[in-house]
Amino acid sequence: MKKYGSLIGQLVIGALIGFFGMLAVLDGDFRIDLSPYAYPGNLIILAAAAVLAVFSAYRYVSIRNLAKQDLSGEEEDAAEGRMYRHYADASLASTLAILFSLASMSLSLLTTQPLWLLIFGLVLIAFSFIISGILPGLMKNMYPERDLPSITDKKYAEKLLNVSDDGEKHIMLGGLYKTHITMNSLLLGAIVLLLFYSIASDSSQLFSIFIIVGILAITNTQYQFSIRNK
Amino acid sequence: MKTRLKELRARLGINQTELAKRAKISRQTVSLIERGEFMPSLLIATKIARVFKEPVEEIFQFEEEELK
Repeated sequence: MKKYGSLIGQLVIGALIGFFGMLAVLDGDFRIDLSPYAYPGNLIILAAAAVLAVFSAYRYVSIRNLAKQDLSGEEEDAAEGRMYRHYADASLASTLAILFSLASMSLSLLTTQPLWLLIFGLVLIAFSFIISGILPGLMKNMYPERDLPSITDKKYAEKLLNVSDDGEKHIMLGGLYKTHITMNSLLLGAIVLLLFYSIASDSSQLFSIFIIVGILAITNTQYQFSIRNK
Repeated sequence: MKTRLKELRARLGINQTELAKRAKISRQTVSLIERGEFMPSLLIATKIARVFKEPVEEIFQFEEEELK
């Protein structure tokens, strides 16, 4: 009961902030112009993407080297743990590099930016895609004794999940459940933010709002149906 | 739940990676079980028990309170 009270309290506070915030925005006469920040912003995003892409490649090489080592005892366990963590690092870094490069390319295409930024963004996207494409192939080096699916297999992700044991699935489930909840909250927040931005900048973000609503509707329906039909 | 995995591994002189290979499970799973962060399924518990040639209930032990 105390838990519900606290939740209702948080909802009421959130609703009041939203209501009065919206009133202030509607009443005020201010404009948001982000164009002066486009060039430095693009440079920062692209630099971050480049660092992440290089880092993922570095991790890729380090996993290959670790997999070649012939170790035993505690050292072997420690090396296996390092490979596992390096693999997660490389996956995350290459995914973030792709996302940041995409953001940079969008900035370059939608605002007036030097051509080299667009070209560099394209090169980074291609490089990051290659890294994220070849990363799963490392699993064969990391776990040669396991019967893993080929990365060229059309159902690679599905088959990889099938060959994962209960412990690995337990780890994935924990991560995915947290991600699902975080993503729902963040996307809901993004809708509110886009609404405020549309009003404050006089530039309608309705298209983006509908896209996010569509994503939320699809992913939540998929999740609820997958647990409902079991 | 208490496990005797570490003790049995030491007796057999094998590391987590070797136990994982012999039981055909992942090292992450062995590590999670040893840390008490994951209760193994019956299949995994049986696979591990076969490696050590011990009954499952000798490796994975529950407190009386947990079984009530």
